[in-house]
Formats: sequence, structure tokens, C-alpha cells
Amino acid sequence: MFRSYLLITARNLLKHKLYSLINILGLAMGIAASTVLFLLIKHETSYDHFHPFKDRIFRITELIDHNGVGEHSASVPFPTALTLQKDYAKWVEKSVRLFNYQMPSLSISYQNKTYNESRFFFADSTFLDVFAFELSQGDPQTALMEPHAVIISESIAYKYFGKENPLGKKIIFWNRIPLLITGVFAKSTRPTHLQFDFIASFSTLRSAIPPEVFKRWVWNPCWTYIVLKDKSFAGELTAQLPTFVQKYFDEKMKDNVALSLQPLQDIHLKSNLDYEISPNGDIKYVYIFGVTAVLILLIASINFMNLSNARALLRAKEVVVRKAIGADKEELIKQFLAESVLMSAIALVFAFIDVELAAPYLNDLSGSPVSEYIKNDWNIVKYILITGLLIGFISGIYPAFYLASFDPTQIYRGNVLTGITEPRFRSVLVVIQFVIAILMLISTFVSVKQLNYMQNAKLGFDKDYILVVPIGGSSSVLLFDEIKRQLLLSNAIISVTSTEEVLGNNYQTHEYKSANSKSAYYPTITVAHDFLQTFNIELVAGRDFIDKRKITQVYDEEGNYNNEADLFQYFEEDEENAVIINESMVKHLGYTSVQEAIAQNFSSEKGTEKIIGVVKDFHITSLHNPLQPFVIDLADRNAQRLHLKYIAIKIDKNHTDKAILALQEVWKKLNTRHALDYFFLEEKLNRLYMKEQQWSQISFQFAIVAIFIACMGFFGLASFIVEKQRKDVGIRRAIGATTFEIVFFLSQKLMRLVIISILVAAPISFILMRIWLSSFPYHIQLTPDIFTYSASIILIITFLTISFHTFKIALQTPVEAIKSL
Amino acid sequence: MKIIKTVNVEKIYTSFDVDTVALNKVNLEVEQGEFVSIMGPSGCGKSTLLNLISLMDLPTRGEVFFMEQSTSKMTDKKRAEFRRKYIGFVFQNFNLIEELSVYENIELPLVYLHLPPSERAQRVKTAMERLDVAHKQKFFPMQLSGGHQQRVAVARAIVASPMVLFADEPTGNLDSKHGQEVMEILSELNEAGTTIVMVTHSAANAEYANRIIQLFDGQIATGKVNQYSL
Repeated sequence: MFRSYLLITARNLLKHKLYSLINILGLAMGIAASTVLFLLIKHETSYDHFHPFKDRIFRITELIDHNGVGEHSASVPFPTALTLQKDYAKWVEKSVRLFNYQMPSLSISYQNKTYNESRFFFADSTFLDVFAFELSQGDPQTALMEPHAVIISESIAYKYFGKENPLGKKIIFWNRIPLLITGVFAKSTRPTHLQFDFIASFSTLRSAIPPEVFKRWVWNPCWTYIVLKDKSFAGELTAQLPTFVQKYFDEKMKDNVALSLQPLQDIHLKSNLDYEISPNGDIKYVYIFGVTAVLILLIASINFMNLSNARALLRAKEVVVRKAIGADKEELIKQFLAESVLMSAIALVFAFIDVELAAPYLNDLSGSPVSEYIKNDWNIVKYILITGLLIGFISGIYPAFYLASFDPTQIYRGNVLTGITEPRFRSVLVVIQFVIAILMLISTFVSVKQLNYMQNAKLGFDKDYILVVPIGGSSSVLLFDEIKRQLLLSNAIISVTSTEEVLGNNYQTHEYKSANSKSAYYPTITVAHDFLQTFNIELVAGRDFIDKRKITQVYDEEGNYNNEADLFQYFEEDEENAVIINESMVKHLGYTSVQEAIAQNFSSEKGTEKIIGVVKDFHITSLHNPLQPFVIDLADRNAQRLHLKYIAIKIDKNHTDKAILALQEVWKKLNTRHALDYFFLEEKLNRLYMKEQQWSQISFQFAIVAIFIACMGFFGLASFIVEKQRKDVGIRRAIGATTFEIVFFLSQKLMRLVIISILVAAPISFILMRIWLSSFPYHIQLTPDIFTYSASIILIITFLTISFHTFKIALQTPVEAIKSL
Repeated sequence: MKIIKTVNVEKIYTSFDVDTVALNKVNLEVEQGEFVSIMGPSGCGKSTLLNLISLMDLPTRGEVFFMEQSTSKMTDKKRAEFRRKYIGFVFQNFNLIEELSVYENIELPLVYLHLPPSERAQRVKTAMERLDVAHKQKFFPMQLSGGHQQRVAVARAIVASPMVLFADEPTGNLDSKHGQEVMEILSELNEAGTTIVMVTHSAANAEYANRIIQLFDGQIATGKVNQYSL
């Protein structure tokens, strides 16, 4: 019996080649597209699943909150790990800290070459006990035991030493601290939020950082992980953390600090804290991927069902003959189900090929390639097989029952098709299919528009034509003044300043106390002179910082001091005495106007400072976060200057190359011991929207797949419907209908379905898109043009899809049309 | 044995709230071994009657007995089983499955009877030889002449050795030569013991039957024994 099914399936496929191709490819594309999404979901949800203690590992996070202002940090102060382990030894088994000075990159040299390495961390010797990273060389028990030891990745080993054995070689950290290579990490393709190339022993820091720093409970630069003896202790430990904070944290901040435990496996998808160790994903998009995968499968499945049905009608005669000679309904259902499953098996082969072709180009939401580990997972193969065959089976049920229900008495009436009516259910399926396709198209439009909006929104400062050079963590910072002086000699360079963090990307918090409130930790941008000028930030009250070395510039030829904007006479000590705040901070501090804030005291650890200016609000982080109060503080010439990590250079937009060349020459002349890295601020800030960018790309690609599959089904269906109308067309043609009248007559029924789909999809997508957009504090408005464009695109595509069939028949000469009667 | 018996059978089709009486209190009996022709003008209910007695359709009222068993309460599955085991069909337009070869078309009823492959092969071979189509066994229906297609259809109808063969205008699409050949084959089958019920417009073909039933407006007008066949 099975042989008979196989035979007739094969012959049917070959007989109706176009139908078969459309049907199989549609299903294959649907399975492939959903598999790709499944791969992404699997990748996103597999982060850090390979560690043996994964359920027991928690990261300690710190919330500093002063009336809604502060930070929620992924890292905590130095002593946290060991103190927790000591105080709660009955629950905490071990701990590990990672530290990189919170620098964008750290300088590493070998022989006469220097590189800026962004994936360099110091870690406690327990690193390899807590996390299951394997070494291809070296002893994991001892590799991090001694100071001045470092384990490197295979790619770094190759970069620094080529094919030489790296073990025992010495590299130099920050031009002065030697590190002995004691191990090499085995190449791993398993996804983890810990992205590193160097892990140096924490004990090395004793020679780089004063001992008292390790005891401080304020600065929070350590990503700290603990392993609990049992995961159930997490609740008990969490309950103890407020007591812990009260016991150890600084008096002035302990009331505003809360520590919490974050499960390791939640970090990648459920964490979006300040100072994350690497860019994370977002659980929201995992759900969206899941829904998209299901919708695409649904479209493919409906397609398969509709086409099988339409094709089945051509086999009505076969069905009634089989019934007449004794096949019962059950046997026919079995036959058509078997055919359906067989076709889906063929589709599976194409799906496998599609997935294999697409796999190398797959990136996750943070822009990293989907790991080989996931791609080679047998579960994916199982998923494709099960999904494909299940879809084949489920999609086969309706056509099978529909076909098997044909009345065998039709056999005496000549043309079996005559008695078969168009099932309404199929029209409903077509509408569902197009509703999904339109939804995906609208979602693409909205996500692309939202992405463009975020990337091009007015941030309140200039991000174009600003070159950023990381200098933190190296002696380059000491050369800043001279670098700036020489850079300004080039006419391609307009202005130069320095900042603690990349403006618009992130910020630090520092402690301040205003005249009317207690001290608190406020978001702070520590800067060098010419900050407002470089970023073109608008001052709404008071004045900018004044560089005392430029003091002569504010005296006129007669020697009169003529800077009216300068409200204070102590500009010579702006570094020590002055801060600028934003409008939100004015409100936060309770001043009724920006003018009122000017000259008010604002104390920091440096002493009493005054508010000398107020700037218009601008976005110090991505548009994922609302505007917030912040302080702009001028780095003093001593300790604070060392905190500056970046030089920001405003360049002439017409002389970009010249400006870069000038930078390279100045760097080469002044700073031979460090490699030069630079990037454009705009590019860096655009990367803040990597998730949205990836999602709009994915959404775009899958909308195309969805529309393509839906149209393939529509094409097949149109062929059948138009064929059934051939007689009507003949009559209409004979009595004088024009080609366009015929095309209109043939198209109206199908296009009506598309219009209904648009009417159904529009309100659904409006609601869904509003929900999605509401997760952004700043978002686009859902304007009618989004819906109009989507509807127009769908109408045009579907009309073109069916016009192949409609024009073919409509263009018949009246003689041909009459003959077909 | 009365292989077919209908008692006051009525068939009413309802369309747009209008009832059309296709058959009206038809009483018919067919004995085993008979060759019965059903004649009548178009629309008189010939095909409807054939549908009912071949267990393809259910009457609106009345009762159809097949092999002396009431069929009114039979499930769809049971009626399919009866068709499979005891009934063969020959149609005017042959109704061969285009995707199956001559051999596979003839084999199909045996597949539904779940016979083992060796027995199927033997029976198909016998049927093909009997109808003289063995040399065309690998051909597909489209590659055959009308006469050959109908031979294949007859071979398929008899391959499972049915007790009754229903033929619906079996020569309607054939030229006179091939039509005569088919009628002679049916006649031979009847002589070999197969009961045949045939619907025809052709008086000449009707003459091959033992008995001719005239239908008119859904009722049996006359039923006479064909004296030439006796």
C-alpha cells in the first residue's frame, strides 16, 4: 500500500511540477526560516549553560538610588566577594572577581609591539573553579595562583606568538607590569556573557593598586560572582544583604545602596545594568523570535494546506474512482496524509540546505555570530525533522478529510470538478496568511523607523565628526595637554576635550551634596576643558568652564576683562570649584529656575564647589533610558585627571582624512609607547541600538520570507481559481468583455481577500506595535503612512502575483475563449 | 439468490428549497447471474438508481437490499467493503487513474483488498490476458485508445472477481467496433456467472441483457424479459 502511495505521490508531483515546486519550496522556506529563528532562540537562551554550577552561580549587583537618581551597577566594590564568603561561609562556597579598571582597553606589549586589548581582565585564582573554561595548555589548578600570571586565548596566542609555544613567554601590562603566560584557553564556541582574551591573576594587582583601595566600599569596579552551596540559599542570602550593606558600606551611602543576587543564567537575557561586562541580549526579542517562528510556520503550513487542497481538487476524479472501487474514507485519508508527509519530507531536504546556507551569516542580537556549538546541536536536526513531518501531517489533515469526503456519485456526472464548491475555510486561511504577512511587514516598517529615529534623534549634543581616542589606563592620559595643543595646530581639527566615559554611551556616578539635600551619588561626566564647545552643548544659564591658561583671551586690547558671561571671579580654580549641571538636575535639586541654581554650593569630595552653569538637557546614555539629572565636572589637574579615559576631537567635516592623519602624526610623535586606537562617536553610539538594528534586519528578512511564502500560495491558488473561471471568461469574452474587464473580474475575488486581510491586520498591528514602542521612553508615532505603505506593497505584490494567471486567460482571443467553453 | 432488491426506493434532491424527485417508489429485483439493462431518457433517474444499488448513495426513503442484506444502516466503511469485495464498475468515460499504469490500475482493487503481492500479480496477469491488454501493462491511460482504456477498465472491474458488475454506458465513448467488443466481453462475463447491471441509451447494447428495465420520470415504466437473450 505504501509503495502505491509513494508511486502516486511521485507521479503527481511530476505531473504538476509548478504546484509541486511552489508547495515544497514554500514549506521548505517556512521550516528553514523557523529553524533559523529557533537557532537564534537556542543561542540566546544557551548563554552560560555549560558551567557545572550554573544553577548555583550568582552575580552580585549594586543599586545606588537617591530619589530615583544613581546607578544600577553590574559590578560591586573590591571587598564584597571575600567578605560575603567569610560572613556567610555556610551558604557561599566560593567566589571570583573580574576587574579591568573599567577601561575600554588596556595596553599590552610584547617585544617591540604594543596593542590595546579590550578583552583583558584580572580574575581571582578561583576563576577556573567557578567557570568551566577549559585550557588547551597549562595547568588549570595553578595557572592563576601566582601574581604576574596570565592565561590567554588561542587567538591571542597566535596574534602575539604565531606558531611558537606561548607558555612561559612574558608580555608587559601597561608598559611596566610583566605577566607570565601560564595557560591557553581552549577554543570554545559555547555562548557565554564572559568575553575575554586575557585572564591575569588578581594578585598581580597588588603591585599596581595601593592596598587601601582593595578595602574601599565605594568604588565598585569588580564583576563579582559567588557559588552557593545550594541554590536554595539564594533567598536566605538575599535577605541578609541589607544587613551586610549596613555593616560594611560607607556611612554616607549605605542608606542608598542595595545589593542583590542575579542568577548567572539571567545575565544575558534579563540584565541591562550599568557597566555590563559585555553587551547582552533581551528576553523580549526571544519571545518575539518565538512568535515569529510560529507565525512563519503557520503561514507555510496554511500555504501547504491550501495548495494541497487546490491540487487535490484536480485529483477529485481519482478520489471518486478509488471510492467506487472500494476505498473507504479511512484509506483515502491515510493515502493523502502519507502524501502530505512525503512531500514535507522532500521539503525537509530543501530546508536543511537553506539552513546550511544561512547558518554562516547568522548573528545574534548583540551582533555576535551564532555559535558553532549551537549550530551543530543535534536538537536542531531533531527540531527540523519533527517540525517538518508534523507540519506535513497537520497540514495534510484538512485536505485529506476534504478530499476523502467527495461524493462518489459525482463519478457519473462527467466532470467531477463541476460539483465541487470553493470551501470558505480556504478563504479564511488565505486571510490568516496575509494578516500575518502584513503584520510582519508593518512590524518591519515600525522597527526600521524606530531604529532610524533613535540613531538620528537630536541628543542635545553633536555626535557627528567627533573622533574618540581611548587613553585611559595608560600613560597617554598624562600627555593629554600636549596632544591637544598639537592637534589644534591642524586646521582640520576644530576642538579637543577629554571625558571619563564616551558621551552618550555611559557615565559614572560621583558623590555630591547640594545646599538643600543630603549627599548622594549623581550621574557625572568628568571632562576636560572645551567640553561644551567640542560637543556643541547649549548653555542655558551661567557660563562654561574657563581654562586659566587662556585667561588672556578674555581681556581686550585695553586690558579690561570683558567676558560678561563670567559670573565668578574664581575661574582660575574652575577645576577645583566649579560644576555645570543640566536642567533636570536643577529640578531635582528643587531650584525654581536655572538662574536660581547658579552660584549655589555643590560639594564634592574635592571640597565646596559652585554651580557655574546650567546646560540644556541632553542624553548621556542611549534613548532606552529617559533623561536624567547629571553633573558635568571638570577634572582637576591631579588625581581626577587620571580618570579621563577618552580624548574627543571635533573635526572639520570636509577634512576627515586630514584630521585622522594629523591625529596619527601627533600620536606617533608624542606617544610611541602606546598603540593608537580611535573611533567615530556616531558609530559607537549607533551600536547602542544593536539589538534594534539586528531585530529590524531579522524582521525585514522574515517579512520578505512571509510575504514570499504567502504569495507563492496565492499564486497557486490563483491558478486554480482562474482555471475554474475559464468557462465564465469564455462567455464574457464572447459577449464583448475587454481584457481589463476580464482581469478585474478574475482578480476581484482574490483581491477582496487581500483587502480583508489588510483591514484585519491594521488594528492588530497597531495594538502590537504600540505595546512594543511603549518599551522605549522615546519612540516614533504610529502614523497612517506606515499602514498605507504596507497595504500598498501587499496590494501591488499580490496583484502582480495573480496577474500572471489573470492576464494569461484574459489575453486569449475571443475564438480561443469560446473554444474553451 | 436475489443479489439486489429495492423496496419502494425514493431519492429526492433538495436544492434551493426545491425538491426534485429523482426516483419514486422503485421496486427492483436482480437475481444472481442475471444481465439487466436499465434504459430510459436523460434525467429519468438511471444513474441515481445505479448509485443506490451499487451502494454509492443512500435512498431518501425505502430500502435497498444487497445480497439479501439491508444496506440502510450500513456504515460508510461497510458499504466500501461491500463495493471492494462484491462489486465491479465500468464507466462511460473509463475513469482510469491517469497517474497509474495499466497494471497498477488493474491492481488497485486488489490493493484495497489487502491481498499479498504474489496473489495480486497472478490475478492481474489473468485479468490482463482475459482482456488482451497484457502487452500494454506498462502504458499509462493517456497512451491508450478508447477501446483499450475500456478494456483496462473492465479488467480492473473484474480482477477481484466481483459478484456484480455495474456498467454505466460502457460503450458511450467508443466507436461501434470497440463498443461491440466491450459488449461481447460483458456478455462472456455474464455467461461465466457474473451478474451485470448496465445503464445504456443504446437499444442494441440493451439487447445483450436478459432483462430490460425502462425508467421514466423516476419510476419503472416496464420491465420485460429480453426474449432474444433467452
